[in-house]
Amino acid sequence: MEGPMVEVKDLSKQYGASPAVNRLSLQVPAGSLFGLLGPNGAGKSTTLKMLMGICRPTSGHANVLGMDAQTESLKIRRRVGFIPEDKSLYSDMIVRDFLKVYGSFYPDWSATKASELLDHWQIRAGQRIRTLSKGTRAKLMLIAVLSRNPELLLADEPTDGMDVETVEEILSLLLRWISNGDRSVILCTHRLDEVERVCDRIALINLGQTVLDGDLDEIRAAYKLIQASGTLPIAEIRKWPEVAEATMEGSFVSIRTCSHPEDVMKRLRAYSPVQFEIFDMNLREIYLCAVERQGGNSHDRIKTLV
Amino acid sequence: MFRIRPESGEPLYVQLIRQIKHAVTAGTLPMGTQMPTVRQLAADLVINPNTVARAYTDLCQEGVLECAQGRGTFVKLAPSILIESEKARRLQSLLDQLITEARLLAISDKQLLEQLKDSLRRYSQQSATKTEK
Repeated sequence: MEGPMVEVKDLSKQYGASPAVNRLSLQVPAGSLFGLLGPNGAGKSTTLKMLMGICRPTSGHANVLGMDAQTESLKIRRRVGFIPEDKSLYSDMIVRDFLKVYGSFYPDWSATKASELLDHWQIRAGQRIRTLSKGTRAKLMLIAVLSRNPELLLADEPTDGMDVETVEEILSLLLRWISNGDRSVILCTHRLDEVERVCDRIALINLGQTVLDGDLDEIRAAYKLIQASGTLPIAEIRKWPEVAEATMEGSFVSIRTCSHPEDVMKRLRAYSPVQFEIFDMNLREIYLCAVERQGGNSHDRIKTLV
Repeated sequence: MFRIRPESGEPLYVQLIRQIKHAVTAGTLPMGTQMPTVRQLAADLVINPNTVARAYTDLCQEGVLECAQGRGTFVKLAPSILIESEKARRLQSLLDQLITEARLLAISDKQLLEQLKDSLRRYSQQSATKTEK
């Protein structure tokens, strides 16, 4: 489709007096594996529910596949796959029956696709769901949702509590699924290592607000750690717009940039520092830096992420 | 054959470019080898297909790979023809290390140059003797 698959503008959700989502804006293009990140309680699940039209926003607007999330929720639910936080399945059914019942709700259901995926993961159709491992149940959930042939998948912690191998298999399937360029996934997670690897775009949210969003490579290029020693004007450096954070120990200065690190390097050179190095930052470091910059008051909550 | 380390902070497409170049220059990927499709490599490495596509595009622009429309992506460079930028890049980090160490040991630039010249001379003598044998 032309234009973004998901467009969210100033979306808010108030539960009583406390905002769960606070003026959130984001865009998900086609062919993207979009990582929606944040600590527990950041507003990720609420956001997904609003996109599906399962829960009503207090204010703001969400557009999914060109449709209004509030008024066209039914049409959206037909074309969008959703893996909720609570992944309980009908445990007394056998796999084959479960897929048959599930598929009967959806006009675009592909039984061929479902059996292909069962074969791919060597899940026997005659097995009772209760006897499946947690990882296999997660895979079955994914098989059911993808066999509906949705255009967009919203996945809330699809790999939560899985072992390394299962995580790899699930992520690998999602990557294959988006790789023809016209489908997207919004992956909601607090696993930074996963996101860092498979996502091309991200939005970091904290306390219902966007802390950082955009193309992951561009974000990586903007956030760098520069270390230098010499006589450097730390107070002035802190005021530079490209600098997120600067600390000094003796004559040793560490600077974390949030844009144009090369400009910061250029300006620093004018002070002829003795030693001078630039380092990449991983997503965990970028996250902490971005939250700090936002005036992070929730350091303890952030730690649940890392 | 490629190993991606997301936690290093280095953009993944840069890591992939570096490793493909390394495999090409080392001869592990000989000229004419067909590269896996974007889709395949992304699924194998469990990384985003856009990351792989970006690496392939950059490598095609540099002339390391060749994207034949509809047929696939192939290695274009023979291992002997090291890419100039790659030669310089590989040497640079070693040179940086050498200079840092020298400064740390308070060896003057002049001393360093002398030592380097000595070493170069010794190396060429050694290879000369080898050829004689």
